[in-house]
Amino acid sequence: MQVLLRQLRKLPDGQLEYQDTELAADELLIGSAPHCQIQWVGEGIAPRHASLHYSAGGATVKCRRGCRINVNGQPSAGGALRVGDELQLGPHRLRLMSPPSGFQLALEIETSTTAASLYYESAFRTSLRQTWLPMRSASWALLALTLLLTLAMPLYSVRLQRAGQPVPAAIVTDRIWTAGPLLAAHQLTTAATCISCHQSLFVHVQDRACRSCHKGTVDHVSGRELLQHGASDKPRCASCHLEHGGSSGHLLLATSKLCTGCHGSRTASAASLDLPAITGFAAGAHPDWHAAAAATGLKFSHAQHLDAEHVRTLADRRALVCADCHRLAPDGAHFVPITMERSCRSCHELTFDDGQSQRQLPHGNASDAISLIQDYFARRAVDPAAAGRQPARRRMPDPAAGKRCEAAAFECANRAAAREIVLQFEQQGCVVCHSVTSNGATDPLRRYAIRPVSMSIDLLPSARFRHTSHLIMAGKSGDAACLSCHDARQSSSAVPSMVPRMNKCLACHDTSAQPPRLPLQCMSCHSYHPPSSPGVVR
Amino acid sequence: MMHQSLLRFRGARYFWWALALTSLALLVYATPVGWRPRGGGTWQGYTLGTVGAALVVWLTLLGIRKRRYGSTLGSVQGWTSAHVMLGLSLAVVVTLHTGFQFGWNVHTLAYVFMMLVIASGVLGLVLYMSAPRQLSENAAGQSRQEMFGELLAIDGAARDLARKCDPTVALAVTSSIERTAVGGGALSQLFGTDRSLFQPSGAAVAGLASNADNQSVIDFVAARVPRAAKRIEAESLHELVALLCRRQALLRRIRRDIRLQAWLKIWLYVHIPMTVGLLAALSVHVLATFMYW
Repeated sequence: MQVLLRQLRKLPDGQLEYQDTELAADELLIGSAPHCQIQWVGEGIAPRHASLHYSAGGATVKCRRGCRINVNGQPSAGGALRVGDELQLGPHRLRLMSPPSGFQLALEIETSTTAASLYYESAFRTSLRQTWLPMRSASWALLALTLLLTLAMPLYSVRLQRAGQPVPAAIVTDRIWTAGPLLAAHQLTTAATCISCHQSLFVHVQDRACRSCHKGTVDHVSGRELLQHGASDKPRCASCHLEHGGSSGHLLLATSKLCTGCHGSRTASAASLDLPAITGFAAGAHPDWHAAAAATGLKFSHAQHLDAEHVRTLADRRALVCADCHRLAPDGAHFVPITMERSCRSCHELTFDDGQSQRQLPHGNASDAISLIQDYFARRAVDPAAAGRQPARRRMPDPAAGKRCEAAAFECANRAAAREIVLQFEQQGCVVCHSVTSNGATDPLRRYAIRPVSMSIDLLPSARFRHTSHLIMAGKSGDAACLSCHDARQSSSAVPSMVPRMNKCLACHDTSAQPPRLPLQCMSCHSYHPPSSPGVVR
Repeated sequence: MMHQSLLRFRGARYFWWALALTSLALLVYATPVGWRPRGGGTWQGYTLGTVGAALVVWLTLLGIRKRRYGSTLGSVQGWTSAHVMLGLSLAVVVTLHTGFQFGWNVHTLAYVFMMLVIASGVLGLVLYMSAPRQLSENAAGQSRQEMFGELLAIDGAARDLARKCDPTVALAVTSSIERTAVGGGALSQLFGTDRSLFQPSGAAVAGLASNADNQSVIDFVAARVPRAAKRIEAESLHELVALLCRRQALLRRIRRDIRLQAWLKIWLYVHIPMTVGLLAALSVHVLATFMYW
């Protein structure tokens, strides 16, 4: 459409000045922005305030959302216009004139310059507030989003899990509350489901959650016992076992404080249990120990066997070393029990009849040994060829046996057997290593009792010790390492006397871990959950 | 000057407070933790966490205090100084509270929100230290409103002058005024990008060319001066070039003013929403700690 714009301007002398402009446009913009064909600047005038359109039906004015313009003195959001209508916006006016020929629209515009400069800035967006950048809405959105994702959704997931319903993948679960990664085994078995352990909100993890899997674990105290002695509550599993430390962490932290928290002071309850105060592993902080009193039942002198002047191996004539008899068990803590067959027989044969017999007595069964002796002499009586032709190797002939037996052959054999049995059980054979008691019965099978041998006793049942960690120790290895703790060269018999006392350990270890001492925590030697123990309670 | 005394308020009183708080936090952190690993679960962790949470709540109160014009509870300047100093020490207190344990959980989310709040606050502080001097130098005693008033006056004068010239010059000048871009979107305001255009000849609208920094239209009009047929036309063109150059200088100042003001505000668009997010995440962090403990 062709538009005639007639600008009216008041000259300083009061005269009116006209200035006509011709435009070819379908839309005329009214506003404060410079690109508006009718640029009006003033208070409350938007950059693009309104627009004028012309169609066959006539001219219409249309305000932008939220804007108003006065049409013939009445505020309006827009509408059809007729020739003669007057639009007013602030101090500015516009009137529709009758268009001259060739024009569809003719406008007489009176633009006021009064105070316009004060409002020109509003034609532009000059503040961040006028941009898309949100502050208030972003704050609300972040608040809502945070609460939704970290509180509402996880709480809903807890509800679903408790009801045994599947949690949709899109739901943020209560795992977002985790304090850290789980131990790999717990991650696997609980499928990282928090409620497996955290069974009630605002309540510490209870032992029953642990016991649901760890059914066989025993404790060294029971709540009932502690109660009887007036002690405080039994510690929870989680008092010592700290989860959410990840796979690289330890579920049980190696610190003596877990134990000395209870055992560190001699409270009334500790006194009633006759427990000393143990504050750590150091002189005066920990009681010395005594090896379990149980004896092996053997007569054996370590000192004698380690004496290179008198005892040497048969094969290579070298002095005995500890490892000739003591072999570490696979647990690295204990030793394979010593047997006669493996450790002793290579030197100590069980020959009899002054070595004339080619046979050896069976070991470990006195009745069999007695029967074998009796059988041997009976056979020799009826078959002299059965008597060995070997000269005596070890003993001078028994003067009593040397006498010629005038009785019947079987009677003579019985007498010889009886003499040999007494010799073996009471003078030179079994009795060398074993404690043999005789009740004086005439039947040799009922006469002797050999004290049982116990080689596999745990000498310090309340403690654990890894020999493997100490095979090389303070620059020593081999026998030197063994002998630095065990006084075997001075031990003439009893094994318990060779169990090192506390001062041996203190030479290298204590809880303070002050250099050059190596740290030693309660758990290094003791276990709160013993595999089995007489006083164990569930 | 406000921006200097923010840090040196009353002999840097709050700097010493913050230093004392940080030292105390380090002392607490340095005490033996016993058998638990360092983190929020130890007594040190609970202590530092409580102090940190209390600090967060107090720091957000600045937003309320500065709107209470009638309040006599310390000056806003003092509050702001304390807000800056203690806010910086919060980063230390809370980092020690974490015991350097981080993960994909609400606890670390709260920490990340807090660090973003502090980082944006530091950016704001740096801007408050430098921008006001640049602003006053640029404004040369004029307010933004006055600068725009001057622009409107120059625009009017340039339009009037252009009308007396060759129609191509008139079109170029009028279009350059109509197509002048000032401010605009957030990025335009922050980086002062100038998408101004003008119509260099009588061609169609498609013939619009860039008029960044108002330079092209000056070159266009200046090129017409030697070709002026009449002396009076040459004088008009001279006058027009001078006017357009004034307009160029003014637009540069206006754009720089808008840019500096935008930077003075932009950090708040991170600081405030993140603070609200932090308050939410912090509440859930505390709640979750006691729900699953």
